[in-house]
Amino acid sequence: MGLMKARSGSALPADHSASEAPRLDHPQPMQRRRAVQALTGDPDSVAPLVELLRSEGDNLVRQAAFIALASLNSERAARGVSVLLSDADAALRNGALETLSAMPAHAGALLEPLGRDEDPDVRIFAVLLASELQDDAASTWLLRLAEHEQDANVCSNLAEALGGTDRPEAVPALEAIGRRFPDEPFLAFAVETAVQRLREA
Amino acid sequence: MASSPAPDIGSARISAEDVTVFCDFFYKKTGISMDASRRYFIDRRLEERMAANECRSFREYLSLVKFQPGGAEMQALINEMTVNETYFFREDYQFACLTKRMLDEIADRKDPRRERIRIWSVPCSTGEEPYSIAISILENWPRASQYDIEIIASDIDTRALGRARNGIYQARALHRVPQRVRDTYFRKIDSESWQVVQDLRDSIDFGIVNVSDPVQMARMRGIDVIFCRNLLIYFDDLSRRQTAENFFDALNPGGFVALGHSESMSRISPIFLPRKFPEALVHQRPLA
Repeated sequence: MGLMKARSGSALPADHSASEAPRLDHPQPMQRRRAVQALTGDPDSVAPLVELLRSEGDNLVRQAAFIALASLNSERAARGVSVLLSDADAALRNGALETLSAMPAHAGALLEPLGRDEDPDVRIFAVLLASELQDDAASTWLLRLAEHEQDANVCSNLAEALGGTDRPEAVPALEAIGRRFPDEPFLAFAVETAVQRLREA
Repeated sequence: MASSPAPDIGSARISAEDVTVFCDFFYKKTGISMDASRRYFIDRRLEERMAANECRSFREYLSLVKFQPGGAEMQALINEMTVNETYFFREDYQFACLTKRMLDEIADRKDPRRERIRIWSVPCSTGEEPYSIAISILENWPRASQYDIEIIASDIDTRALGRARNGIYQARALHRVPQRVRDTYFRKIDSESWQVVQDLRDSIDFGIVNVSDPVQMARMRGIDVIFCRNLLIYFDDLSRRQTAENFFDALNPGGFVALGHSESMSRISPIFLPRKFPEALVHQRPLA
C-alpha cells in the first residue's frame, strides 16, 4: 500500500443512478440536479427551469438551475429569470439577481420594465441589478428613475447606487430625493453620502 | 514567373477588436477570462503563434485555431497563454492540513482493503504541487502505508505536463525543500538541477483536463481531496460557479477542496461547507 498510480478511471465508483432517466420531479434532490444539468444549453429549458425554481427547496438543485439559466445567456433566459425577482423567497430573489448579473448583455434591457413594476421590492432589485451592470446605460437608467421614484426604500437604494457611479450630473436628482422625503432622516443621510462620493470621485 | 513575396509575419498587427474577439473565443474554450489590462501579454503571445504559423492576419490565425483538425494549434495557444510559475511546498500549510486533518477524516470512512484515497491536483502546472503532496503524505501521514493512495495531476497545458512528468527542477523551485527531503526524493543531475526519483514520478498520474469542459470533467469522479489553487482567479463569476459545481460532482461526499489563499469558495458558491481547521480553511462537500 501507499502511493500508487491511478488506473485510468478503473477506480471510479459505479454511478448506478446514472442509468435512470433524469426527471425534474424526481423525489431525490441529486436526481433533480442531474435532470437540471441534462438541460444545460437547451434554449427551451427556460420555462421548466423557472417553474422548478419556484417550488424547489434544495439549494443544490437551485444553484444548478441558476447556472444552467445563466449559461444560456439569452434574452429569453433573462426574461424568465426576472419574474423570480418578485418571489416571496429572498434566497430565490438573490439567486435571480446574481443570474441576471451574469447576463449583462440581456439584463440591461429589463431595467425599464422592472423599474415600472408596482412592487417596490422589484424596483429595488432593478436598482441593485443596474448597480451590478456598471455600464453607462444602466447608470443613465438609475438617474432617470431617481428623478421620479416615490418609494423611500427604493430611493435609498438609488442613492447608494448613484453614489457609486461617475455621474456628477446625478447630484440634482439626488438632492431632489432629499426634498421629496423631508421626514426620512435616513434618506437625507444616504443622499448626503452619495453626493459627497460623487463630488470626491 | 515571379514568386509572391514572403508574408510579413514579423509585423502582424493585432487590433483592440481582435483582442476582444480573441478573449471571447479563449474564454469559451477554456473558461479563462483575459482582460484588456493584459493586452501586452496577449499581443506578444498571439504574434508569436501567428509568426510560427506564417499567418498574415489575426483573422487567418483564428480560422486556423478554430478549424484545424486535431486542434494542435489550439493546444499550442493554450500552452502560451497559461502561466506556470511555482515551487515546491508553496502554501504548505494546506499540505499540513491534509496530513494532520483531512486524510484522517477521509480514511476513517474508508475500508483500506477495498477503497482508495484519491487526491487531485489541478492545475498541476510543472508538477511541483502534486510532488509536494506526495512527499508530504509519505513524510507526515502515519497511516500512509495502510491505504492505497492515488494522486492525479492535471493541467490544460501539455508542455507543462511534459515537464511535470520529467520531474527536473532548478534550485529556485526547491528553495523550500529541506536538505534531508531533497536527498530522499531527488537526485542531483548537475550543479543546478535535481530530478524527482523514478518511483515518485511513476506514482503520479499526469494528464490533460480542462475544468471548463463538461465532457472531460464527467470523467473525474470519486475524488477525496481537490487542490485547485490560483486557477479560479482567472475565471469570471459564471465559470467559477460552474467549476464549483463540477468539483462537487467530482468529489465523494465529505471530500474537500483547497483553494488558493486569495480565493474564497463562499464568494463563489454556497454548495460547500467551510471547514476551519487549525492549519487552513478548506471547503467540504456535505456528507449527505
